[in-house]
Amino acid sequence: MLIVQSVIVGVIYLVLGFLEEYLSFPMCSRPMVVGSVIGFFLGDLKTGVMIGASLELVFMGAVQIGASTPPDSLVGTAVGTAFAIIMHADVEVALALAVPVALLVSMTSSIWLTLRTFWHPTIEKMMDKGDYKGLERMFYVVALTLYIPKALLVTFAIMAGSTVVEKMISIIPEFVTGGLGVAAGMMVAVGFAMLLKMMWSKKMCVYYFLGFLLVAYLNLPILAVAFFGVILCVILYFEGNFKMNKAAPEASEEEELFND
Amino acid sequence: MIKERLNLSDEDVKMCKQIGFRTLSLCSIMEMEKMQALAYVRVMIPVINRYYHTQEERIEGYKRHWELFNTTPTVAGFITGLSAAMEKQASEDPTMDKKSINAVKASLMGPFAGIGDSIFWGSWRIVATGIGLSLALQGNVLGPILMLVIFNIPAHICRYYGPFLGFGLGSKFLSQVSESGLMQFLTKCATIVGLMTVGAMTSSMVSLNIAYVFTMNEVEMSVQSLIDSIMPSALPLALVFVCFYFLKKDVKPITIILGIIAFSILGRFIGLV
Repeated sequence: MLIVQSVIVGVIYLVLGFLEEYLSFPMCSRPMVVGSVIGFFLGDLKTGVMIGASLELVFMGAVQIGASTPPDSLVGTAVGTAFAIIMHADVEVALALAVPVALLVSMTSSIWLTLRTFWHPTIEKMMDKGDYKGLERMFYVVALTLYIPKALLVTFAIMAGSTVVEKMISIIPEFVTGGLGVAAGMMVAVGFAMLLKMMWSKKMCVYYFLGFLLVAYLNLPILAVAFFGVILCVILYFEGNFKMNKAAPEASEEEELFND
Repeated sequence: MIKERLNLSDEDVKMCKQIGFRTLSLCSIMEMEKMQALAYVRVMIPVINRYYHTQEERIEGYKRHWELFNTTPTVAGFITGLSAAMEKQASEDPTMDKKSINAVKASLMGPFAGIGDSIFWGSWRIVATGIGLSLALQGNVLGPILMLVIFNIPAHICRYYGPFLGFGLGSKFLSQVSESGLMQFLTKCATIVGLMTVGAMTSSMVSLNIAYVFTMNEVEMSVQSLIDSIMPSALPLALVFVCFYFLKKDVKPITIILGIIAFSILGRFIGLV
């Protein structure tokens, strides 16, 4: 039974990871989606969704922006969710596993990416011959060179790790699991700080506080805050100092194109 | 529709769709040395095969695109479409310097990555995730579905129309858009909505509560309720800024996460949190 379950999780990892990059990041490898899919196939959709959502909070800031290496949230979520569902454990257990696994895998990420450069001589040989059909095949080979070893890693980690993890869970004292639960609520702050670092400027930071105060004092839902933000942008467009330069007709033409 | 507006033939439309679909996969073969080069070659294969007819020219064409390239795939369609237009021009005009094709690619990939990352990965993903999360945290499967739908509708418009606009309007269009200030305005809007959402989620999703209770004049006082009466979510706000401060000091996120875990376990042990 465990073998079947770990193979299922490995296949889910392979499919979601490949599709994410193949279809230009439709966000199908975010923890919320991965947790739900694993939950569905392991027969406990609700737990999967909840674990995925909790891990999404932890990994929300973990995206590849520029040259930084984020924690590998996909491997972390896959392993953490699978263990928690297989052992009927709590969200804290999923978290205790997902975070270290994601960090470990991201530390080795340059090794994984280097695997792909081994194909360079083959690619260049095909190019010399003008073999474009071969190049198109090579594209899939190079893409999967990363995902198949990682999927095997996920499968074997779940297969081999379950007895160890089960023992580990039974001996962990309460203040550690409780502390991890507290840490889960705090870790999302790191993600937000990473996003702030990207967007922060003296002129713009007032909008951050506006969003914060709208929820802290008025308890508005996130969607309402987003709508207010959009309305602010419209006000800025008409009332602010934004002026279209001489190229205005082209710009409006572009908008019409999008409405087609 | 777009075909008539840009004066495209049926064959052009077919090629733009093909370019668009292949552009999606730019990141599939990401590696450290040439980054997205092989995927770019794959995007250009149908273009080069259409406009060049001798084997030597084709080989030269494939090799031309076997160069380092890296941008956000969601918005890369503008660039791949423009490359296709330039390849077409180069095949018709033998005096054209083919190096300019790569020069344009190299000059556009930075700005496009900046805009694509801040609009789609920075702001819009956060808005979509925030909306989905509030449902998903209660175990409602609509949460992740809603997130996928909200994120992908505008992203898909960009993915689909990018190559058409790049191919049909060419480099003139792209420079006009950047001169008109529309790009900057859109980036500004994305930043406003993004910052507001992150601020909102700082209050609703970061949780840090002080469990410590002290006795004053024989009345039990909870530190947390004291803080809440002044400003709800003041601690989460402070926590975000502590993390922000360390990030600005070039502390790695991993180190901060480990610090938070250590703090929580220790805090739980002594009954602080």
